Amino acid sequence: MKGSTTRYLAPVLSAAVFIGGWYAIRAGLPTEKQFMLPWPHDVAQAFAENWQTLLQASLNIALGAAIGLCSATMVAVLMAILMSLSGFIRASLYPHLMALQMMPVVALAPILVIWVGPGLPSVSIITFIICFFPIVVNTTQGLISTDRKLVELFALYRASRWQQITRLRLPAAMPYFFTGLRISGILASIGAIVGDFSAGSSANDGAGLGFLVIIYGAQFKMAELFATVISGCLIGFVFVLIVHRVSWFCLHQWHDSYERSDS
Amino acid sequence: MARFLRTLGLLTAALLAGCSRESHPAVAAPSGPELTPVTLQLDWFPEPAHGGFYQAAVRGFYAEAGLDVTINPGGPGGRPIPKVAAGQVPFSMGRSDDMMLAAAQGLPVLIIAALMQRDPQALLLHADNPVETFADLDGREVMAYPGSAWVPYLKKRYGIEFDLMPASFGLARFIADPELIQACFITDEPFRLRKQGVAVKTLLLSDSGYDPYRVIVTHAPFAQENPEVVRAFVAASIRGWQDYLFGDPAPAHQAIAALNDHMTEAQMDYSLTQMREQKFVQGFSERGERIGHLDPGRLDAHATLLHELGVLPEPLPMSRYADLSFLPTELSAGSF
Repeated sequence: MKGSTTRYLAPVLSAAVFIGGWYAIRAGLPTEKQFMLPWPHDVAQAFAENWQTLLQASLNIALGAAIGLCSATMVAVLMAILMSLSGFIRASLYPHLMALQMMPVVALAPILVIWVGPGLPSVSIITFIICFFPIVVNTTQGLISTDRKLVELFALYRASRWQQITRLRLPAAMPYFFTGLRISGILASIGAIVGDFSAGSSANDGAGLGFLVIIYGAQFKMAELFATVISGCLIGFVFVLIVHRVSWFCLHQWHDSYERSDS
Repeated sequence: MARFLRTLGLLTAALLAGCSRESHPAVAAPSGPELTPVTLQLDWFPEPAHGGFYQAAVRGFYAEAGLDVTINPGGPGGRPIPKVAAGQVPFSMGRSDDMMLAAAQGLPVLIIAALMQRDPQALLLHADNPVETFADLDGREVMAYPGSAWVPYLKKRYGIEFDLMPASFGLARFIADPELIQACFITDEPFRLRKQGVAVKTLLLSDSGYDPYRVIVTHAPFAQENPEVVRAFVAASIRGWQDYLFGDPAPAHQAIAALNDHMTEAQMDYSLTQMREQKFVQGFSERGERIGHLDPGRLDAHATLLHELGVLPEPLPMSRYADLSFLPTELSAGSF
């Protein structure tokens, strides 16, 4: 009980200290620098005045992030299974996957806009590219790191290749997979916002937080920019929370990392 | 290892040399009296739209006015106004409406002179695009900088709706998509496209009735502390523009070509001709417009318009965003 009180009180306290520090810094700014940092209550007011715009933009980002992350997860797992089958496939695919991750989004965005049009299609693809790599690398690592003894046991019982993958390697790779998914869950909303920033569109109310950043930036609205950043954080939190719940659901019954929190 | 250390030593020496030159500009300028070092931040890569500043620098007008002016090139995403507001550079440029928005948000920026009486910003369309007037934009999608104040103006004035997508700062998409409408500088992109065989037409935004200045701006505290420097900079810049537009533009064009590979002689001639013919910089003398001149009534009317559009949350008095006292007397006297 005492533990859980601390757990909820601690972040509230640290947030209070943070906001107090924010007020102190703002109060100490000379007049000509004051535009750089809005008061925390200015940010709250920006939220109150623009909540519909921010909510719509957040939902658009969440949609782009969800499409990107889900498709990245599916393709990455299939790709990881393929790569776990042979060292040759791994060696021939891995550098290209790495190249995919290295692609600078800002350079890619104009190309994507020409190919698939601005807005949700481009935003989802950019999110896909950003989310794909951590999952594929971790899952592949998991699939090829299965306990030797268990693999031998499966061989002893004449399990087929398919059975070995579905019954042994995939379950054993789950913790690795979720490690990748957690990283991608954090990256998904960031990816969608970056995508929206460079390849977004206001058509069909499709403008996301990246688009808002451009608008508020052009109008020098600092409080609104802060509100946009905080909205982005909130979406990120929601994604991370979902990934953690799914991960807990799949692993808590057997994996060591959940033992303590369960008891 | 020894080689690495030597390289490091050389780099450090170069760096230190660079720093000391920054802090003692008099060393760099061998001739006569000490010059005051100031920086002008451009809003784009060097191009003829900055011609007068380069002319003033190369022909020594700034030095004659006691200034050692460094001209910093800009580019996509290199937003100059926050730099001025933060006091990183004393001088830059932009549209008068943007300065009003900035000032309304508390950014300490001041309009000190007109750079252009009319903004050369236009909408760029393929020649066969059915859109012929601003009213035809209804239901279309325009690639422009979202947040620009002319967007709500066009929507309200013509009773239309259109969507926006962020500018990609290139022409590849425009060439690929015959439907695309994007913002451009009338002095620049049309020439480049026609050279590539793309037939285009333009709608000059100021023809819609939305008519901001392009302006020279400064950091308000800087102007307060160095009024003479600001006055000298404005006067020498106006002299540079006068000389660039009506004298021999070669000095500026050589400087620009050396800094920007894309600027061919033909491109620069086109831009300069456009600026001359459409009188972007000098304005219409019958309306009392001249290089650098600012009409307080016109500024005020524009601020009122922005307030009516809801872009400015409250009426903005001119003292918040402009100070016309730095203009040469013959320019400011005529306006009051």
